[in-house]
Formats: sequence, structure tokens, C-alpha cells
Amino acid sequence: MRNLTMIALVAALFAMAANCKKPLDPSGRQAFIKGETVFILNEGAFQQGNGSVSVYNKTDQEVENKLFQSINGENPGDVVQSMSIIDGQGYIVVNNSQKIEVTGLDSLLRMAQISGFTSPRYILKVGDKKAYVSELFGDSIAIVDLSSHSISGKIGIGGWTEEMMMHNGKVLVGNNSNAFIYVIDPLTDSIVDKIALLNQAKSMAHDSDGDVWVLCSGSFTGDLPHVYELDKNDFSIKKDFPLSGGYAGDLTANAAGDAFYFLNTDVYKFSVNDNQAPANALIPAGSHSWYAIGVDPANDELYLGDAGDFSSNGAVYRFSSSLSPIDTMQVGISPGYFLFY
Amino acid sequence: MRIAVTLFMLFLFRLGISQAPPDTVYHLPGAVVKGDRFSLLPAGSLSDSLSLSRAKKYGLSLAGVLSENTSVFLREYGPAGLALASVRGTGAQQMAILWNGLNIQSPMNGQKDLRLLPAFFFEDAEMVYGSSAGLAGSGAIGGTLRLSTAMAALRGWKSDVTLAGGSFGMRAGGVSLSYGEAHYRGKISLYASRSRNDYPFLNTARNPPLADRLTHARLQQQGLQYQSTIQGKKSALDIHYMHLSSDRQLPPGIFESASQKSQQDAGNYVKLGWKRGGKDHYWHINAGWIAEKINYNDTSLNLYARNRSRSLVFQPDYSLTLNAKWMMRAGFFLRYDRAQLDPLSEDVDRHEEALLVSWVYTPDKKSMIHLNLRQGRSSQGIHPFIPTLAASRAFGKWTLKGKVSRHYREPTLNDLYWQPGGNPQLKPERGWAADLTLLFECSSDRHLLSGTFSAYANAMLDQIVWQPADGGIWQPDNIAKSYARGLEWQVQAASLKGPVRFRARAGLAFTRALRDRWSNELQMAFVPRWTGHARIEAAYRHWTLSYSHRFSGVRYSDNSNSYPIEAFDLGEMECARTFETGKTRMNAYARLSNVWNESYRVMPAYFMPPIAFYTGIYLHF
Repeated sequence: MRNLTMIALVAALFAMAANCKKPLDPSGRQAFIKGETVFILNEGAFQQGNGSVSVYNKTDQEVENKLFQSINGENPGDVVQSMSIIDGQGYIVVNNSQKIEVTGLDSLLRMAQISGFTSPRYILKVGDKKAYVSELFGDSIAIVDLSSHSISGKIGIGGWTEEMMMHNGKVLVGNNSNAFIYVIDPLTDSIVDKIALLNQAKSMAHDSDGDVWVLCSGSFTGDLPHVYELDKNDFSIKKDFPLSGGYAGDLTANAAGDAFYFLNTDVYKFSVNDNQAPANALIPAGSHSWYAIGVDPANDELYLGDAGDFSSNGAVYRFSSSLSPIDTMQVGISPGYFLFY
Repeated sequence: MRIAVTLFMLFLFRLGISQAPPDTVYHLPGAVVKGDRFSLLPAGSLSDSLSLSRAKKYGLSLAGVLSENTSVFLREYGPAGLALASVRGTGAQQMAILWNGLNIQSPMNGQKDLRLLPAFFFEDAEMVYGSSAGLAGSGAIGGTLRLSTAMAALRGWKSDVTLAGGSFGMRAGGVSLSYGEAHYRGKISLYASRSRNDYPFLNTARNPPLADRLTHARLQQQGLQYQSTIQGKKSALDIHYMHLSSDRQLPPGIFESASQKSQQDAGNYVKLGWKRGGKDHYWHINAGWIAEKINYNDTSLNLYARNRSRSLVFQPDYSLTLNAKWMMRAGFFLRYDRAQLDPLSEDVDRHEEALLVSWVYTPDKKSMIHLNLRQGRSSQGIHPFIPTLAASRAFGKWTLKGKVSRHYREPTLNDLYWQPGGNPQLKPERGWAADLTLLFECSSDRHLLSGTFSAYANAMLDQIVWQPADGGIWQPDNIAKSYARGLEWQVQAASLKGPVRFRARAGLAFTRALRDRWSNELQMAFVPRWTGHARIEAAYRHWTLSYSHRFSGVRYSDNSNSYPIEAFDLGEMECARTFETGKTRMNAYARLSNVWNESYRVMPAYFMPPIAFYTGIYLHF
């Protein structure tokens, strides 16, 4: 009988250990699990240093706010803009603190800091141990050495460089100050081409065929927003959807790459087969201040960041792929970026 | 320490209540027929007459005067940055600043940096709490700061000289020359100050706390002030002129790595006044011209913004004593503002006109009722009708004052026309405020005890808030509502025992500032629930020793109250010696500020100076 009890006890311990898939980080916290984690970057209020990172666990359906602060004992900084995962580390771009925080991915523990930027916006890995960082005011793209976590050079581009993407071995850089997308060869760090559009290129995404879709934001001087489909080989314009007034952004593909969402005060959606812009909003803003869109590549769930009054905590609204509301979570001030890990 | 100060203040207040003897005559202002419209500002309201003598000695600005002597909370963006007033839960744009009766809040951004107003230039300063929009016009919502350069009667020549210096490169100097006779008096003053502000601080926002030093924070300012009055038998003509200019580096906030920002401010202010009257009627005609410029530079971004404004003001009053109990006053308010807002190539302008009518009823020597009606319009349309009803009644050594007033605030020229984002369709902000104040005072030959208790409520509707809009820009709109309510206590005591004089003063304010609804549990960003100040002073013959203390409770940098900014306590000690030779009086002093060496910040991005030493002399002859 005693042996049977011991065997049962040992078996139970093994079973518990086998079920305990979630490793612990060095501080004893539950580490982030790939495929279950959504990083929500909250900009904070300008010059108040109250930007933050919230982390949503899809399995537990729990959100943890101010996680960077909890782990590192201080806020990430002023205007927490975007985040990328590069070589197993998180790169959090903090715009008005002119820095990038490099963190581990088990807990957001700070591993390094990259400083010396003017006003960084996005980071994109472009080669072995090399990344580009776009700048709001820097009139350049900063080249970052990922080994030393330092700026190794700059590529001069006038104006506000914004989102970037890799395309056939080249880097496409949107410029939100003029009407060009710049094509950079990351091997030589030189501009090899520029694609003329009607106005400011803010947001870019690939469709399932590899074509490039570009959202031009429009401007306060009266330029209307446009959506372009660019041929994947020669960047010729295949489609051009002028949008109604407003300020558009956050062009985001669904998991299959056959439809796109974007923000233009309200939330809109169109198919790659459409030949004109969507006439009606998918999700009207109403009393919300939609500030960011995220689409979970695993299940097509839609995440919308609501910045509210921009000086209070914001909220994230989650919808199923069929756009049924799922739930809402409170996050930090001005949730402006989603990263699915 | 904060608890000790609070107990001390409450002790003094309770002492005041217990010692107030009943039923003595309280002197009411009476029919204020000889004053202009602003003489009625304190009617029904709590007001503080601010002592400027210490600030003049130290070469301080009005920012220092307000923070040390009132419950006004100053939002200080570092030692060289903006110092903006927050009164009773409102913002800097919701306080009127009257220089000799002219509102000198910038028509461009609706605010005035109090750090750039040197106390040396002013003869009198009074803080009137609560709404005074009926008399002071747009923006007089949380309070009105009334500044005067008018001199008291003077015979012969007088001069004042101040020299001050101390830690972190602080140097200040001022000289004034006055002349007066029966029909003329005039005064000219010069003032200049410099400060490096390169102090060390402990950045407790970092983990672990980081020893750091402020850089790029030099401030220099200078000014000229002139005033003269020609006094006739029944009339008087006065002219006031003030020039202020400053050049300052704007230091990096602790969330930034560096700064190459700087700002130059300059202003010229002219006021012409004429008054004439007899026993029962009086004319006051005041006209003003204000020119200001604000240049903002960020060389790292090649950003150079040049903004200029010009304003003309004309405000005549006619007062008439109807009988022993009634006085009536009627007045106009005309203002024209024109500005060049970078990067607009064309000037923008606006005008405002208003008619005011006041009645003052004094049924006896212990009571007064004041009713004021104001109707105005501006380039943006008809203003809300602004009624104000104020009353006071003395009960022995106690006086009860109350006031109910509507208020409004015109959109600024930046709100209307800034490119990008300006919204010409904006309406004025509007709202209501109510005050109740209880005062007591008792005194003997050797002792004085006085105190006030005040409660207030304020609703502000159609508030202008900038938020993201079409075109990727921020645009203002009349979308917000906010509410404020609070309590304020103040007490003063003075005693003379042989050659020793004691004086003590304390104030405590509780403020609830709420977004959207009265029942909101959350405090609005950057408004502390509790603030307080206290000062004790002992003087023996020519020596004076004093200690001042002020504290602020926790504030938040967001309206969700998720990001607290630490409470702080600040102490200051001073030792002074007065020397007198004939008609010359010299005061020499040494003072320590932030004696507890508190590492503190008022706004999240800027740590303020540590313990610092200052010394100087003040000559009067």
C-alpha cells in the first residue's frame, strides 16, 4: 500500500511538472509564452514620462499593466512608440526619450539601451547584426549595430521617416513629410530608388501575393488620404483608393493577407480584390478615440486601442474575426501599438 | 514634517477661534466711489494682500511670492522654465493677471510666466480667489492676481537698491529712484538677474536613483519700469510703462537625453490713466497698449518659431453715489488683439467689447451687497451674460463674505488660429462659481490674531481641449467639463514682548479638481489635494530670524491617477540684520533655501534645486 501511495505521489508530481509549461523568468515571474502574448505599447502623455508597456496573456485572458516599470523599477520613458522583436530580444522605441530599450523576452528586463537618436519611431532588422531606425525629426535613418547596441551610421533622408518594411532584399521607408517611399539597399546603406506617390506615406503592409499596400495619411493642408497597391516587382501603382477626409493610419493586414484594416477616425476594412475604398466604417469611433489597430496573426482577432482623452488610462477592445465583441481591458495612457509574440 | 506643520497651522486656527471677542465694529469698504472697477474685486471673496518686501530683497519673481504666501500651486517646469499658476484646481489660463488694471495674460497662449515678473517692479500685489469675470473679464475663473506699480504719496527723493547673489550662479540687482511733491510723483526702476542653474540632483525616477546635474538651464532677464502721476485738485493723470525681456535655455527633462532648446520673451506694457471727480461721482478712463514676443528655438530640429502680439485696451468707468446707501457704476471694456503666429504669414486678430453695470448697496456700516452685470461680445460672437452677486456682513470681529458669479474665458489666438489645428469655431468656456468666506480678527496693542476660512465650488463647461483630429494634427474643441471644490484656511498671529517681536502665518488648502462630473473620485492631473505654507519669524532689535515652510501633497501626471508625482516639503531659513544711519537704511541677509535638501520635482520631468545659499543687501535712502 505504501509503495502504491509513493508511486501515485511521484506520478502526480511528474504530471504537474509536465503540465507546467510556463517557465519562470529570473525574478520568479511567469515568462512570456510565444503565441500567447500581446505587447501593448502605451505612449503616455507627451513630456510626462508616463508611457508604459502592458502585456496581455491570451490564454489566461489577463492583462498586466506597467510591466516594464515593475521589472526595471522605472518607466520606459516619454512617448513609448513601437516595439520589435529582433534576435530574441525586445526593442522598445521610446520616441521623446530619444532611445531604444533592449529587453529580454522572458520578462522585459532591460538588457541594454541604445541612445543618440533625435526622435526615433520604428526599428527594423535589415541584416545580420544591423537594424534601421526611422526618425521623426532626424532627417535620416539611423543605422544600429545590434552587437554593440549603438548607432553606427546614418542615411540622409529629408523629413519624417516612418514605417519600414523588408521587400525583396530591399528596405522600403515611408516618408510622412513628402510624397515618396524610399528604397534602400541594406548591403550598401544607400538609397537606390524612390517611389512617387500623391502624399505622405505612413503605413505599409504586404498582401498574400507579395504586393505592397501603402496608406498615405493625408495632411492638414487638404491632401486626402490614399491607399495604394504597388506592384511587388516594379512598384507601379496597381490600385489607388482615395479616401474621404481625415487622417488615416495603421494599415494592418489580416492573417491571410487578403484584407486590410485601417484607421481614419473610424475603423475600416477592405479586401485586396476591392476596386474602391470602403464607403462605410466597419466600427465607428463614436465616443472612442481609436488610436491603434492590431490583428492577431494566429486567429484574426482584432484589437483596437482607445486613447480616450489622451491623459487618462486607455482601453483595448477585442473583437473576434467575425467582429463580435469579445472583451475590453484597461491599459496605460494612449495605447498606440500592438505586437503579437 | 508635513504633519507637524499641519498641526501647527490647525493649532493657530483653533487659537484664533477661541480668542475672537464678540461685537466690535468691522470697517467695510463702503461706497468705493473713488476706486476703479477693480476696487470691488475682493467684495465677497477671499483675498491675500501679498507682502513684496522679502521678494524685492531677494531679487525674486512673483512665482516665489505666490508659492511662499498663498495656496496658489505653481507648476514649475524647472528653475528656468515656465512657472504657471494653478488656483483652486484651475489652470494658468483660468487666472487673470492685472497689471495696473490691464490683463497681461498673453492673447496668444492665454498664460503668463510668473517667473518673468520681478517683484522689484511692483508696489502692491493682491491675490483675489474665485471668479471675478464680471469685473476682470475673460479668464478670471480660479482667481485674479492684481499688480500695481502706483506709488503712495512721497515728498522728495528716495532710492532703493538691491543686490543678491548665491548658489548656482544666481546674481540679481535692482535700483529704483523716486521723486515726489504735492502735485507730482514718479519712479524709475531697473532690474537684472542671471542664473546658471547648474545644480546637482538625485534623479529618483531612475532605478537605482542616479546622481545627475542640470545642464542647459541658464536664465537671464532684465527690465525697466517707469511710472509717474500728475495730481490736480479734482483730477489725476498717471502713466505706467514696463519693459521685460528674458533669454533662457530650456533644460532637458529627465526623460530626454539632451536639449538645445531656448526661448526669448519680451514685453512692453503701457497704461495711461485719467480720473476726475467730485464728492459723489467719478470718472476713470484707463487705456493700455501691450506688445509681446515669444521666440522659441530648438537648434537640434532647426525649429525657430517667432510669435508676436499687440493689444489695445480701453476701459472707461463712471461711478455715481446715488445716496448714502447706494452707489452705481457703469463701464465699457474694449480690447483689440493682433498677433503674428509663426508659421502663419498673415496676422490674425480679434476684438472684444463689453458693457458692465454695478450697484453697491451698503445698508449700514457692517454690510455690503454688490451686484454686477456684464454683457460682452467678441469676434467669435455673443458672450454669456455674466451676473455677479457678492455680499459681506460683519458680526463683531467676524465677517462673513459670499459670492456667486458666472464666468467665461475667450479662446486664445493660438486656439483660434494656430496652424495647424486652430479652430475659429470655438466658443468661450463658461461656468459658475460660488464662494463663502469667514474672517476674524482680534488685536490689542501688543497682539494680533486673524484668520480666514473659505469654501468654494466651481463648474467649468465647454472647456477647450486640444486633441487629435483630421489631418494628423491636434485641434482644440469645446468638449470638456471640469469641476472644483475646496476648503482653505489661513491664520496670522503677531505678538510684541519687550524688544522681541514674533510673527507667524500659516495656510492650508484642500482642493478637489474633477473631470466630467462632481462625483468623480479621481483628481485631475497636476492638482494636489493638499498644499500648505507656514512662516514664523522672531525679531530682536535689528536682528530677524525666520523659517518658512511649504508643502505640496501628491499630484498625478494623468487623470487616471496612475502616475503619482511625489509630495514635497521645503524649508527656508533666513537671518537678517538692519542698519540705520540717518535716512539710510540697509538690510543685509543670508538665507538657505531647501534647507532639508529635499530631492523634489513639481512637474514630472524636472528636479528642482537642492539646498542653496543666498545673500544680499537692500538699501533704502
